[in-house]
Amino acid sequence: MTGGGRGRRYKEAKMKRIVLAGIAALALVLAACSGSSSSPSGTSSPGKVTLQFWTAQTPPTTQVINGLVNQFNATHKNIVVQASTGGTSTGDLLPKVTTAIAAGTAPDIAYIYGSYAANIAQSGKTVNLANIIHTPGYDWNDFYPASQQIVSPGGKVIGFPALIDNLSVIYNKKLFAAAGVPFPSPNWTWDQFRATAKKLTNPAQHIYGVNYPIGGDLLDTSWRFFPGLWQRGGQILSPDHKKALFNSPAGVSNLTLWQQMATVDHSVYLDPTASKAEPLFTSGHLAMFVSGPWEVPVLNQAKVDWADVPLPAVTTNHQTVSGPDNWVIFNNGSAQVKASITFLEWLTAPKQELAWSIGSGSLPIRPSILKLPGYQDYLKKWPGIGPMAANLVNAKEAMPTLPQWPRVVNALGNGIASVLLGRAAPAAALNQAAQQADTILNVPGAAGG
Amino acid sequence: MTGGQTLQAAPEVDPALHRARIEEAERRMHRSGWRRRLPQRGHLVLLPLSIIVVLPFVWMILTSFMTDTEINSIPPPLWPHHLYTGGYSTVLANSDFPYWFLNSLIVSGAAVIAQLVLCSLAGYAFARIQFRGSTVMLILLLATALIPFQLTVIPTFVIFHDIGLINTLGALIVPQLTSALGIYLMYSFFQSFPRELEEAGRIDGCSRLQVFWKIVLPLARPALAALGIITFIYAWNDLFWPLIAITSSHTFTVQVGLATFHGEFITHWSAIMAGTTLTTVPVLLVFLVGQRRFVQAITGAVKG
Repeated sequence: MTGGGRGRRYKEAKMKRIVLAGIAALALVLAACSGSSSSPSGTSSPGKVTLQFWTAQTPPTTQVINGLVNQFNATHKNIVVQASTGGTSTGDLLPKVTTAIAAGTAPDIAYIYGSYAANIAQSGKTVNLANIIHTPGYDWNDFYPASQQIVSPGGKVIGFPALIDNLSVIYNKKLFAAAGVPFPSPNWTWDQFRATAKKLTNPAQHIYGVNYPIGGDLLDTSWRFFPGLWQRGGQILSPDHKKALFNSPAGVSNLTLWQQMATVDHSVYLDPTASKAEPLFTSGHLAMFVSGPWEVPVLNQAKVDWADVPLPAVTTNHQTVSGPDNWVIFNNGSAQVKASITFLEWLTAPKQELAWSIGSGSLPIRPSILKLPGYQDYLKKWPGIGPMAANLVNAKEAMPTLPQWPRVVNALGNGIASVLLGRAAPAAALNQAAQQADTILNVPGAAGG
Repeated sequence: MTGGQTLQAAPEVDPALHRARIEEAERRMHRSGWRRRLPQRGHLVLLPLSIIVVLPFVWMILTSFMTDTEINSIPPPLWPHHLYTGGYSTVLANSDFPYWFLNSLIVSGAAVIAQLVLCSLAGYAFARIQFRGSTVMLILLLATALIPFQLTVIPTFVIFHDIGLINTLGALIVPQLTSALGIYLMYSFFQSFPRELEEAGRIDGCSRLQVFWKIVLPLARPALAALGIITFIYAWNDLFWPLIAITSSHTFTVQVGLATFHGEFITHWSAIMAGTTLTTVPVLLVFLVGQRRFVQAITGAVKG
């Protein structure tokens, strides 16, 4: 071997050592990064249970719920609740939860949209509290009926109610006064609603009477259709969830009213993204805004002079619709489930719920909260929300909870949008949507929930 | 040698003629400089294009000083009525933004360094070292770029959970240590790299790694700069995997953290815009400061 060859070998060995050292350094950095991992859910010390709780709240409401969690942790020595937003808002949390379920690492409790309850229940990873919720102490019947139904897809109680809302008519008092139209009465009818919207519409000043979303989230398009359907005695689906019934005469009559308002009176702002009505209302271009309690902070911040009334009635039934969300408990072992129930029972008790409502502006999920002395503080903090809370008695029915539901509302939403745009007749559009829904509902193996 | 020294080194030239030459040169420079500053036909295209590029950034900064009500009003205001700083205070005081920003820097920085090292080594190996199955391996490697991440997210999550990296920055760094695109970029560059330079180094006694380190890599700066920029932007903007892998707020990256301001019913636009401004402006400043080097690097990469 030549000296040059030895030198080259030595240099190559040296370079290899440098590269290996670099790789080792990288591994050390990663190891250091992994050191901050939070402890997984489970029993952290003998007799002590740690719960992973994914709240899916924005930073302002996260502070409120974290305060409640701290209170719980301080008063319950055997359970430690570790709250986290989980990632981001509810909609984006869903793929995260489904990934965690598939990987066998689901949190103990997560906030899940009511419309996804049946799909989550199908995972086989959720609990069924049906046998224990009616035992004394849970006060299950103190939850509004719509909440009870949404958290129980297919009769399986997968957690606790987390949020309830409803639709009412929010109106701009100044626009009513400027148009010389009297404020709506809580006892008003759909005919009065149509006439009021027409009077308030002022094309010259770009003022619309009322809004209806026809794009974006088609659940939003569909669920505004249901109150009028129910009020006229109609139903969305058959009791066995095998057939669409929304194309009944009640449904056609309901959609015809909105069609006439949109295409004859031109009093409806057809919102293409379901997000423009709010800025139109706060900017004084929309007189009546069919929406819910989530608008209260926005309207008060925008200093709009507003009030709200229940949805109109055909005669006397002012039935509205609600889209409740749930705290879903995942089955991570009996100790975890037991601790999760203890925590949610505490969190959804009237006292804590009132604190949550005051902090977040959500509607009370139990009727008994309206009778608590502190309820007046809630009304003071969120001016205008009282009638919306009172309107919960009109949320008598829940939307169906079944895995195919998102696709059913898409079919119905597209039908409604085509009618409001003047492209189809109400009966024909609803029949076509019903046909599509029947096909979706009868796909073998897709039924459940 | 300076210009002044050059002038002094020509005493035989007539001073008057010399002055005249200097004045003429100055006039030419002045004329040509002035001409460069005059609007030209190309500006008719470039100016509107530059406005299109800059406008979103300007709008982002302006809306970061507006209230949510102003942002949502119709017609939208062009500038804030008052200098509202609530969005900034919400982001800085009521969230873990400093953690998010630092985490994004760590993840993006680690991804850039790792990809520069590993992709250049792998690309060089595929381009220069003949071994059995190298072409098949390269094709298989490139084929992995065709698989959408959504398809592999669950097995990836399971693996990272099993090795204890879920909810750590390690879970965000490891998947970005190397990439098929990065390897292919470097492979393409090294294939067009003149072998003679490497052979000269070998003749002078350098080992292969020394040739790589001392000759090839310095001349590969254009390709490395391009890879670094691509990697940084991808790592900085990534939302899906950090959202899945991270649960604790202190470990969020900027993108996941800012997404929490988008709620089920309410979006805090002012806070989102303030956070986006705080996130974007430093990156823009880095780019503006290093602009000349980046452009040189990219142009160099095109030239090969």
